[in-house]
Amino acid sequence: MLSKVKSFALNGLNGFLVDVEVDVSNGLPAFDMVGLPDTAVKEAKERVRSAIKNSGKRFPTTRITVNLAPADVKKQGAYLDLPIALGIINATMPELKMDISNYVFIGELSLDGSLREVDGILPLLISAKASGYTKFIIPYDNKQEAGYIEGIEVYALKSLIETVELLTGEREFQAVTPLTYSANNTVKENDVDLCYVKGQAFAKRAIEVAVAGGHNVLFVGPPGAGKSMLAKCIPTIMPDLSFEEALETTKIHSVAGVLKGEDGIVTKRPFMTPHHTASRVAIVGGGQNAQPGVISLAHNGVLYLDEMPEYPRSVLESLRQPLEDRVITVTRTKASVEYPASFMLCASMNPCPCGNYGSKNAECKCTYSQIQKYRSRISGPLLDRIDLQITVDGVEYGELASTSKEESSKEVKRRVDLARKIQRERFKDETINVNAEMNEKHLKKYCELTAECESIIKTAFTSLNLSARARSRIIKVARTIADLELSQQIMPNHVLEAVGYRSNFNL
Amino acid sequence: MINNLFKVVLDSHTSLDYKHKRDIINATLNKSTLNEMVDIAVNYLTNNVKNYKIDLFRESFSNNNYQSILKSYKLKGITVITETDALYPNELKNTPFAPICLYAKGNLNLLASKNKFSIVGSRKTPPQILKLTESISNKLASAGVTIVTGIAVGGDLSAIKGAIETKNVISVLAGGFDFCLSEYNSDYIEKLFKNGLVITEHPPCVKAMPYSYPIRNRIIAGLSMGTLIVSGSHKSGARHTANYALEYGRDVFAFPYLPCTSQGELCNKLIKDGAYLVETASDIAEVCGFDIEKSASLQLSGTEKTVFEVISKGSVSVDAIAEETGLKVFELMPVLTLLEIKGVIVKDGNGEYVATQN
Repeated sequence: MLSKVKSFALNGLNGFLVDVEVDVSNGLPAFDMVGLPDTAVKEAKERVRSAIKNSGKRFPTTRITVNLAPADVKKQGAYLDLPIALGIINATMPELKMDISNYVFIGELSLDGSLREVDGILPLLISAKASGYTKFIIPYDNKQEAGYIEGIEVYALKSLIETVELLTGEREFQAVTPLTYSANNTVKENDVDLCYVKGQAFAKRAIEVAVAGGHNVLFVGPPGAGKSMLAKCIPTIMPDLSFEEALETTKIHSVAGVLKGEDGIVTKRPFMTPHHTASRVAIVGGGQNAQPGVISLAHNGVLYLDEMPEYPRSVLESLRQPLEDRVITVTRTKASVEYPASFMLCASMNPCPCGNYGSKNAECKCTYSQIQKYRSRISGPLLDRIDLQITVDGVEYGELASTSKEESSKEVKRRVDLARKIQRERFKDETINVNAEMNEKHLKKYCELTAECESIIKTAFTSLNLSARARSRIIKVARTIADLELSQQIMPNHVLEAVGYRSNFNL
Repeated sequence: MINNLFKVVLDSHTSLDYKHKRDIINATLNKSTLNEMVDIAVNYLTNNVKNYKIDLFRESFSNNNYQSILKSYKLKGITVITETDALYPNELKNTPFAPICLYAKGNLNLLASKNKFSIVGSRKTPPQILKLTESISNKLASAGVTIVTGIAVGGDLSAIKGAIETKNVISVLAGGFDFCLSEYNSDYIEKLFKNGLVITEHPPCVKAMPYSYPIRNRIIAGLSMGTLIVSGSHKSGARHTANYALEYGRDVFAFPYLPCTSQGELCNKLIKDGAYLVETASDIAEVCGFDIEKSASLQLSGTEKTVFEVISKGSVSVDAIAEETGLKVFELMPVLTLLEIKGVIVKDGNGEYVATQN
């Protein structure tokens, strides 16, 4: 007896239809599976056997052949356990009259027959919906993720036996109730907030400018200056994730299997802090199955590199292309996948190996060449992509203990939202979204400088010894500062402030 | 003529020590033919230098060989000045261990300049001192004083930066010209070739070693009538320059530093030992008799003045200035940048602002 069950499998962020064909025929007992299954799929045999048995059904002692069509695409993951099991049950017990042709089945089986949560439900459902399928049966624990997709009927079931009951009409189940997305209702009271950062008015202003224009930012400062704390506040002043952004980010998190089950969707901008021992593959993505890396997990959020010079050069350099293109194509022998990677890079570093260079209180023990070597670990082209490079210094005790009220993230966020709105208006006919993404052409079009501003930049160049690269950086930042002040034209004050955020790396 | 030639070829033997070269030159002073000189040199070498390749030495004085040496210098744009040349500065000739030959590239007339003054400092010089060095160097050079310095990043480079526009600057290298572009700040080397003068006592093929720097410093001190030490710890190379200057009877100047500032230990020690304390260019001009222009007084607007006054009390962070003046950061930043452009304040390595003059 032959039966056909529909399921979906993932290739990168995109799902594709897999027809699970099960044929049970007479012959010596055997269980063969064809159609390029990977190890996890091959092992489905054993899980399916036990699950069927422990669900009170009979596992046929005849010859079973399972074909996973299309036969030329590699299938990964344990999504196919449920469809295989149902295919076998349907083929051996046609008398049950299961209504399997109307559903798409996704799920991993446990030996006792219960359905286990799988990764990547959201992208699978999105792709399936796009190919015109509307009825799904998924594991119960993936219920939340499914709730955010409109126009489909999803049943989240707890076991194989429940699935059979649903398909035979023995029992009625409630479809998953749709959830409405709201960025705010799930944002819990933030642990970090700008109002908890005492002092540091300069750095706070800098991150406000950075977030408003999507600029990457580098903090240079001695250990304990509060660089990490400032960085952690960045997500709290970023604009809310829109539903589309949330879905995009959730897809990646779902595929990577880091989605927290309870929420079902990423509602907060991700803040990724890979340790500096992380490998290049971990950061940009890769592995046998071309999994997304940290930069893709940071999509629509912040990638924070603490102690940037400690990262291997190859890792840092591999960030250059994604910083520019905002996507990363991970290519491996078995797969080539494009993952979005539009993140704001935030990095921190010490001014020298011992951390005390330029400090008044402590003496720097490093030699000139040590300092040069330390700083040269971050290449010029990479620094070029970081628009704001600011120095952060420790706060004095008095400030730490002071009870004076600091501005909260919420207030800063309001200003940032306004500035972002202006930018959306400005770039509505362009492919870019924020000031930081402007290229020379955009600079010419949108950042016209008055003669006064031009002369300020010119004098600044000669007297402050700026590099030629610094020019476009300064203009971009000046544009953002003007946006924050709701000013159409870039005024001299904006340029002057922007010059103040340049690096003094070339000491 | 023959004498010069002999010295140039002798100096091209980089494996010979200065002492041996000097001995050979002293022994050949009265000889008039090249052959006689070479004989004396060969004789000296066989007696005093073990295993020296005499044949090669003799060979190097052959007509073909010295022509090719001279030609290679010419191709590289290098002028060789021996101690008997008219161009060789007298003040240097009168020092002990004066270089036998000077290899020079750039405006040779600078060597003849009457007022030469050296400004040297360590690589780790605080930014406000760098700015001050630059401005003093500029003022002296504008008054016609030729600034003599090294080329390392820090104090030396600021001295060059200040003087390069007036074209009154000599930089003394610690190695030969073949390596100068790769080892030093090549931007400034090129500028110096064009607008100043670069000299060294080493033939082009000699690479600077760590020990070459203190030896080089005797030339800096020897060329100039006075030496300003802008920064340095007890161990820094600038102390050699100061010691040579004292030894040669030249004036030593130094910037004062706060106690416990490692970058200024040397300067404070020199002042204790009797060096002139320098705060402005006129402190130097008075002692050395230079005629410098009075600097125009600063024009600062209301806010600029308030901010500048806060900064002149000592180095402060943006946050501290904002607190003291009551300005918001975004109001304050433009003012700070303006002051920085005007050159009255500088940003130090820690992101704090420091006033450069009062």
